[in-house]
Amino acid sequence: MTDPLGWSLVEAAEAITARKISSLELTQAAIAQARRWQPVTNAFIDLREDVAMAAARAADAGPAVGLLHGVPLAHKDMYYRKGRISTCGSVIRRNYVASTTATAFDRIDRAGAIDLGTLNMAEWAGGATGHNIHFGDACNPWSPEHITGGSSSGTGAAVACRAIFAGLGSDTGGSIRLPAAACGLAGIKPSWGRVSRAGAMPRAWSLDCVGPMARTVRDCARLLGVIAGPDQADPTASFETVPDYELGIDAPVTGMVLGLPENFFFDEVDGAVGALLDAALGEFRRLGVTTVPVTIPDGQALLDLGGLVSVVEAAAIHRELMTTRARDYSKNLFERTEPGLHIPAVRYLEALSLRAKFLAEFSAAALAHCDALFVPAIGQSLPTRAETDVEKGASLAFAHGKLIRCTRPFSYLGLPALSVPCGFTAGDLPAGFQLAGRPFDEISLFRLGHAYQRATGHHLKAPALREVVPA
Amino acid sequence: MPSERPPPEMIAAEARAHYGVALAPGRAEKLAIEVGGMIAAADRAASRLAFEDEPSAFPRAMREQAR
Repeated sequence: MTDPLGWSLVEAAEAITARKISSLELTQAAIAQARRWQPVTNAFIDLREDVAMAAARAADAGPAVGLLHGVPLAHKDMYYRKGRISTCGSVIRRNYVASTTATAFDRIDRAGAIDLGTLNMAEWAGGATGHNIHFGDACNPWSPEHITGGSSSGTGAAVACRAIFAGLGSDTGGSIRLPAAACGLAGIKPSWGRVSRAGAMPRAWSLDCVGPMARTVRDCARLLGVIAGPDQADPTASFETVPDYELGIDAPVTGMVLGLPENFFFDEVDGAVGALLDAALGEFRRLGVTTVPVTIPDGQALLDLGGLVSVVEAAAIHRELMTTRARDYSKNLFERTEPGLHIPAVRYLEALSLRAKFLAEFSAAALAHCDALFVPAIGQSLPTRAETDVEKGASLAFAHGKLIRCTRPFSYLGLPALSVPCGFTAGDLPAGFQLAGRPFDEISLFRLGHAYQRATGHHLKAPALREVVPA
Repeated sequence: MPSERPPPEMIAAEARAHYGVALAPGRAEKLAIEVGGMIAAADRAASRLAFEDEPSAFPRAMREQAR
């Protein structure tokens, strides 16, 4: 038998259901892997071994209850589980016990998954790098000196080191797609409203999305299928039909069309990442996918307006705590949130009101003649944690602005965007591309991403355990 | 629509009066630049695309643009 921790989520679920391995064996192996890597990655905030083992024994004792039966997962520590502490990556919530359970957790539980515990994240989900002054930085299994990406940093690190098969992140401006790209994973920010946010810590209500990160696109499709759909507890959750994302995922992609932006998205791509993106495009062409050039109407406006909406909503959420607990915020997050306190309400509402028109304009210009856009996830080779440590003087424009350039526009537009790993730059540092599509057309992104992974196999490579680097 | 950078004095007064924050020296000037930049960006966008006054315009646009 191959190393079970090298299986995909789908393979693990099938093996448990077929009784080729027990949930207890797999959970024990995952816990051992999490403990081995924890000194390097600092991925877990709370590894709940006893609870997970008990759940695994219960799973083995009964029939398979769902598509995730017996598979060990863990999630960003901002999803509430009744009676459990959710830190949200902040010392302010170090002892905060949730009084309700997130809808996404309810659905994952009903599908039979085992919850190993809570995962590290950027403070209040407000950072693109993975730094955290309260719980220590999450570190990239591929190179602990380099960033994991954020804000779903612990999910990225834990999935990449094969301690879990998948996990939830959250994405307001790139917080699923950036750590997915930086850690060599697949991750999808679904369409806005595709997944209920009930029981999830808000970062910016108009932009927040719940979504999965995993090693394979198909695993993301499975997990999204479990959590997507309307929810009485969240009136903003869409009633659009949720398709079976795995049905037809193996179909050939011959004849599908990728849009290649001629402006904005590739403007700041460096040579090493550019070469990997070119190779990925070559692979798509070998699969029979054609490409068409597209022009992005006003990429800078999408970036700017997304930033404005995000900072105002975050400031509204944090105003009181910023007044009463200012010293319990990192300098970086406090100063990045502060401008939101001073933006006139009318300008904020204008930025929100323009979303519909920008979406219509973008769809007509960039998505009318293709199935998905192909753009970078992170346009540069991964920076180090030291280079991006704003608390120690690093430039915010470098640490934050460059990283989110290619992800935030889709957040403002509410469009689905899937990050897919496409190889490694020097030093075994992962890189990835994004596929972005029309609202609620996640299924086209999954088909394309899955076909690419079947043809390549970058996701099969595993990081090697290295010496400990203090977080 | 004029793009306006708020006076640093106004930023400092807002911080003190509404949020209880006493800004460090130079911080009000820096915030004024950042806030002014964001307002200018909103102005540029608003000058190109007209204000949409329908409250459910965005969710409706999401449905309309779906495949």
